[in-house]
Amino acid sequence: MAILGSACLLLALGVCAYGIGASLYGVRRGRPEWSESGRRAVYALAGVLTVAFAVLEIAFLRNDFTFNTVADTSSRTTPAFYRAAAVWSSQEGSLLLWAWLMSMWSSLVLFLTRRRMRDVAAYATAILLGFGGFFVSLMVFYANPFVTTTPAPAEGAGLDPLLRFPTMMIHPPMLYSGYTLCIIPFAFGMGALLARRVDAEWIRAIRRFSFAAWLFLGIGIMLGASWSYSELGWGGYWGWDAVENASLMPWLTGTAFLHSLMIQEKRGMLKVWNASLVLATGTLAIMGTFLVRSGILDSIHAFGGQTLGVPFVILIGVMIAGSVYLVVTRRDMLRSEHRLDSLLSRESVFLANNIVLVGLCFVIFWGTYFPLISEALTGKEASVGPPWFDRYTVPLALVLVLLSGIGPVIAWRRATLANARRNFLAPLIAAVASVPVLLAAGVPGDWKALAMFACAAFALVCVIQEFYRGARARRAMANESPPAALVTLVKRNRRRYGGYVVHIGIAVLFIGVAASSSFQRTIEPTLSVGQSSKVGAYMVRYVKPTATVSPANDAAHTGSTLSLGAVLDVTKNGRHVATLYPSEGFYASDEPSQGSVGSLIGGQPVSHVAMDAGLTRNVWTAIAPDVETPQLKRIVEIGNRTIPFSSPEDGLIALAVLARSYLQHPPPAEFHLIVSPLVMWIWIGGLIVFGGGLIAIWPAPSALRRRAGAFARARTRARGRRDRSGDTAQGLAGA
Amino acid sequence: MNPARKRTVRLTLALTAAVVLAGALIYTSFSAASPALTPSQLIHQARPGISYQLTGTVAPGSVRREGSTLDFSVEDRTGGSAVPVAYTGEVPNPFKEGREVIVTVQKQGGAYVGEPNSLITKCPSKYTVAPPAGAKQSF
Amino acid sequence: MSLLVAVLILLLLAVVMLVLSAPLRSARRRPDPRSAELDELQAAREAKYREIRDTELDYRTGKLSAEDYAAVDATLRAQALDILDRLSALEGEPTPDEVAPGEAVSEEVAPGETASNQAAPGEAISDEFAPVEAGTDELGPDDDEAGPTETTSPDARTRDA
Repeated sequence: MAILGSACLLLALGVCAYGIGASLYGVRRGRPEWSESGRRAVYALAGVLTVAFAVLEIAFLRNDFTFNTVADTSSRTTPAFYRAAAVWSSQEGSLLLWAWLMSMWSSLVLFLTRRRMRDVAAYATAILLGFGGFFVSLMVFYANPFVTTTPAPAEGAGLDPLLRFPTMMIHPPMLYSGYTLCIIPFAFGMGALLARRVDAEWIRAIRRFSFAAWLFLGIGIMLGASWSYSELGWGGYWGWDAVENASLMPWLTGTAFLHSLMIQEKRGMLKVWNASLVLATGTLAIMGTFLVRSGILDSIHAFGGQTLGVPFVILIGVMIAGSVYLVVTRRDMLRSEHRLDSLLSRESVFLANNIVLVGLCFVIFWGTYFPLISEALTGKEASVGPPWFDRYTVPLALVLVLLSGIGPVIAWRRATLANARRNFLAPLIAAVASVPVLLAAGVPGDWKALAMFACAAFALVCVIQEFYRGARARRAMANESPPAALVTLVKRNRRRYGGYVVHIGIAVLFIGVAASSSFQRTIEPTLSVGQSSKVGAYMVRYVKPTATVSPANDAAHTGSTLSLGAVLDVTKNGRHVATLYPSEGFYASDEPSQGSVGSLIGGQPVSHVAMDAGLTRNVWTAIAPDVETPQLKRIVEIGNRTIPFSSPEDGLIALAVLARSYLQHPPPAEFHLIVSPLVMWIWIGGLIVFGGGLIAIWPAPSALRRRAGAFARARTRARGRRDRSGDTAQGLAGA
Repeated sequence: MNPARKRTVRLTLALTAAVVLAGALIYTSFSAASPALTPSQLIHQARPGISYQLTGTVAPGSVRREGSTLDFSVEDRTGGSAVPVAYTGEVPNPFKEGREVIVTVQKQGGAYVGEPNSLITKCPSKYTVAPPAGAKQSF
Repeated sequence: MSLLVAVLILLLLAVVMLVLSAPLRSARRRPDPRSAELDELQAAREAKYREIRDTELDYRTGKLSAEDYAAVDATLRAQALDILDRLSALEGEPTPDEVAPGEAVSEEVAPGETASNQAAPGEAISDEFAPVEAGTDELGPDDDEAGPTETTSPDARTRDA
């Protein structure tokens, strides 16, 4: 069956080569049937890669250890769900996932645009197939998922326990969907420049694709942050690590693009800027993909040998060179049609927003790649840490939140100053008043957090005011009840109000970030049974130890061979708040040097965090039990000496003895206790952002439009005629 | 001032501000950065009171815990000189002998003290391309 | 390499060849050379409608004074009319002054087109906010409780479909 997989890869390579040729031939010679064939090559690629992916999936599910990648990353004891997801935990498998997702999304997009933008789509097809061919080549020549070994080993290495969390398994498909979806606007952007057609139709199409990319990438980033917080043992959600930054950068430029695209749509401005943004987003996405697997930066996630680095650098170089070349040679058609009418306009607020977002991206880019930059410039490799990032991103984030409130309140083109002044009164009052109110309520005087709260208050009042005014205007005209008015208002103006909802989400998210960053209380006590520790306003008591043995009994369903934990009693002012059960899971390793019993628990231990999540605060607990006391080590040594490798079941008995000893004479254990205010609001804010995004992109029912279209034409024509005949006021006065 | 000139002035101001800010950013990055050194480089170059990013592998047999301090040695990836580090604070789950780590240290007297909570352990490499040695390969 | 796998590979190859060669084999009529311009004009028209609606919404939610709104609205409508004229010229239709309501407009939504996420302005203008028919009142956002006087325009009160 592996042969089938490899054959699929070769076939895919051939299909890509053919498709590129056919599309280009078709568009250059004006032979649409060849362009059509080229487009079908993308469908064929998706089909072939689906077969390849299925082959690999089935191999994992069936524990077919002849496949090297299955043997390296899965095992019989890995639970089924994680076995299915282990496909993409390896280099080869993740390349296949990337290529497959790209081919599927590309097929969808090309199918939806099959009747439009024919020449642009033809070039885009060629470019997309180029990317597909690149990734398939990587697999064929460097990292083939279908390499086999016979005879197959009896058992595989098992999925890295650090990945045995549901969020961690959904994170790569989401993130890769985000990255691959960034490639599609890139391809259509290049296609438009190549075909010399940057127009309203292109704008409409590329907005959709960019929105999808923005959505999926954002979800991927949030899932990663959530995994880091809930499952990793450090209790944080963002560490300015290189790969975190790598996924954030294209999201920032994507957000900027979605805004500035509106300006191009309305006023025909910023064409060079937009072309650059969309091309930069695609390039940053590839750079992100490259960063994770090339090992060029020292980071927690820097994997991969040097072999993959070189092809990626070449690809990135080609992308950058191609982008610059196209933008420069097409600059005549990218000339702005208008200029900014007024500084007091939504256009100029969007411009400011773009500058802040791109500025943020630049800061993060600089900090992330600094080790390479400093090495290139000074010969010495140096890196900057989170404090440096915070120093620059915090003020920029404040400005961003402020702008997200200003934008919705200012009109397009040219706002009336008197109206604007009146509209900003309530938000300003809210912002200024929030500081003394919060201080009076007992919030500590951290200027950064208070500034963010004030900005968020400003933004929230601005946006909520917009909903209120819109609904009120609708009510006055259409006589609906307030809830109905609100609903219809949003339904009829999805893009605008969906966007406002996104802004609400962003403000909420930053409130959570500010509170949890500035007002966190953390302590790392070593406690014996019965001892307590105070953290923030809470008292945490180590009640008694817990232990489970064998994968079947693993409460977290991660296949741990041994799990040691604690029962913690959390109280506040004497009142019981929660009972928490943090634990640490131990897993089998494949190192015989550890001994028959030692290797059962010699794999990487993983902390299972126990959390009491609430709207106002999270109480986060983790335990690092001491499994290396002399007593426990003696048990392991005896087991190593008396139990052969061939009977792991007897090894489990030794672990049971160890567990019992731990329960009867529990040594002091190290705990990590954190009380974080308002963390929940980060996730809630994220959900609001994505909900708003979905509202904004949801298409209106076409039947409604068809009927409305007739009226539209009639009224527009009728009024326009009257305007043309010279009388504006009368035109407004109606029939 | 006519509109065109106003626009030019605005643009110049904006660009100047951008350049100044970028300059500040770049300057502080160089002064705030800690150099990344391998153990052998650290032994030769380390000066007291300066933070360095030590990168290398945890030497086998060197991990000892004394109270709240974790003592371990970091050696070059290619083997060779090892640097003893006394570290307090967060120890990531993946930490164990043979794993690659990055820890911020300062030289104090004759010893290297790790900055609290600065220990990063690389996730064990999942993306190696080399096939397992000694097994018959079939394509 | 088992027989089953060999057969599967050949099957896959055959399917791929079929899919790729289909457009080359069948006789297709040449697509309308003007369709690109048609698509473009339709997209421009929708964008212009959206602008008109957005401006009205800006006015209704108190961001624009009545004079500013009138000026911008007139400009936009004139631009929309240009686009409609060019569309009609392309479609070879006459451009009457009035179009009877309810006239089927099949080109509004081409089959398979991803619908825009905004309703057309006609619906908004007629459904959402009644037009500023009583031209003399200064309808600032704070005193629009009374609402404009209802007009005799037949499609002014169309409700949700």
